[in-house]
Amino acid sequence: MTSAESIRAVRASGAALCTFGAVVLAWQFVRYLTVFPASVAAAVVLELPLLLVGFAALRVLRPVRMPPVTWSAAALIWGGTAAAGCALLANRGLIGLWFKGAGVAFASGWSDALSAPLNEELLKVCGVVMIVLAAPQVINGPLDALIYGALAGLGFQVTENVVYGLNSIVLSGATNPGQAVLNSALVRVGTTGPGSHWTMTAVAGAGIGYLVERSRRGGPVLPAIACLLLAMSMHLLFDAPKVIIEIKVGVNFVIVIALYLLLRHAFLERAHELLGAWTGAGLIGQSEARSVLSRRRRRTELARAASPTGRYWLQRRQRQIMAAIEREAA
Amino acid sequence: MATDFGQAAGMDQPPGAPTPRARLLWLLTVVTVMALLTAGWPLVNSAVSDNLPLAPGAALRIGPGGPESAVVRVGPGWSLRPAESNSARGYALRRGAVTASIAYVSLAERAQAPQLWDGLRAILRIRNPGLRLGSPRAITSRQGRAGLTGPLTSRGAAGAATIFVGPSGTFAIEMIGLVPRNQGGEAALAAVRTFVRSLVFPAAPR
Repeated sequence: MTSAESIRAVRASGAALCTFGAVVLAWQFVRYLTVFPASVAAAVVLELPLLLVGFAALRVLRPVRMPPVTWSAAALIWGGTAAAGCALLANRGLIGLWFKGAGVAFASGWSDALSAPLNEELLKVCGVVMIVLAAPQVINGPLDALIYGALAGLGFQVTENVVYGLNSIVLSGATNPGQAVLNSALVRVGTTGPGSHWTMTAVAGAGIGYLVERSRRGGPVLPAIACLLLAMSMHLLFDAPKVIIEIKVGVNFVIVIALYLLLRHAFLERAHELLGAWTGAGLIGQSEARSVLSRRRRRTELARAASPTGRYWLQRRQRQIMAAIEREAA
Repeated sequence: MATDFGQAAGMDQPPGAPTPRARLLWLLTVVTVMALLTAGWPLVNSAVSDNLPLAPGAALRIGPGGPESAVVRVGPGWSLRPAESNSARGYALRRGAVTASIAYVSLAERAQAPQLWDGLRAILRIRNPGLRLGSPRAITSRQGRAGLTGPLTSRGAAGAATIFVGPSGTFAIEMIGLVPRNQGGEAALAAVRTFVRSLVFPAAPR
């Protein structure tokens, strides 16, 4: 089998798993659509701002240039379909076991916290692995993988919010479905949103990035394991009973921001070193070295191009340099 | 600058990219992990008995606790289905062929209580589409709380649904009992009615 064929096999499998997850979700909630059509529409529409703003904001977080929109969308879709659909079945099985084995009193408080971290973190982070396999040039290290992990987590979070919105109709006795959906969305977007799935899968995703780095340059496997365990621990804290929600959200948010800033700092430091070395070797010019890491400066350089042809070649060269930096500095 | 930067740097392909064989092995690993979690846990769960016999007179507390909770006492012969139960949200019970469920419903406003019966009808269309909920009539629990009860019918079963609103007016308990037709109907329903009427709100004045 050639490399191209193996990549096609991965992409087809990814599409099949996303379809499977979407079918599971549709099968579980299709009756809501017939009984509470307006509330289902509201549950979806209320998540659109989170989906769109989150998608844009997470992509902008990647230094130098945003990740490709196709693969960003693939990560988001994986989280919202393959991971969310499979998690629905996996959690039901494991939570049922907790209730049978540990008793209703214990499991009522702890079954979510002892099931979701294992099932959901593995299912979500599988999306980052799939992107590494399906698009070998896209994820070069932990920072790239953190962004894709966050996107997969965001997709999962949006689907879960819709599901919780629909469940809240039943939990409120269907006395006011619209209000139940609105209240659920306000809590899950406004209160818990900043520390929810996107933070956990960003951390787990960074671990996959360490594995990519290891495959290219060698190194220990420990950071990858540590990231996955940290993501599971964040999830356990998030689902644990009797912990104030503001603490859960705050801890997860601080962890992901700290990891992001560390990785970003290391990436940019290495990028500047590389640019210095390449300038010294005559591979790039001083003005290119000054502008290539900044979106604004690159645009300024392009605007100064004398002709459309000149702009085309300049843009092509900028992309080549950026791709080399992303590979080498990751 | 005429230099082809990508070529000069020799970085057109990422070093260490997986070989086709390694890529397929990783794909197999991902699919295996997903299959194990998605099918494995439900399979193991289905292999473990979902039946916990309850002692006659056993008390089941439902709700988040404190004044926002209720207690029911079951008669002889009932067992709990733990995988479908949760002390905060509700219980699933069984007594031979008779099935019963007790659900905690949280109300955002007291004014929503009158909508509970129609809400239950809508929920049943989702949870059990073949089941028809009839018109409600008054019922009084042994504690003296007023509630609503009404008949449930489907092609293969008959039973009753009952709703009691909690003393704070911000929560309610919904109970459903179903008996398969030709399974000793009236006697079986009497067992359901016994535990339905046993419902006690600890916060209610005695």
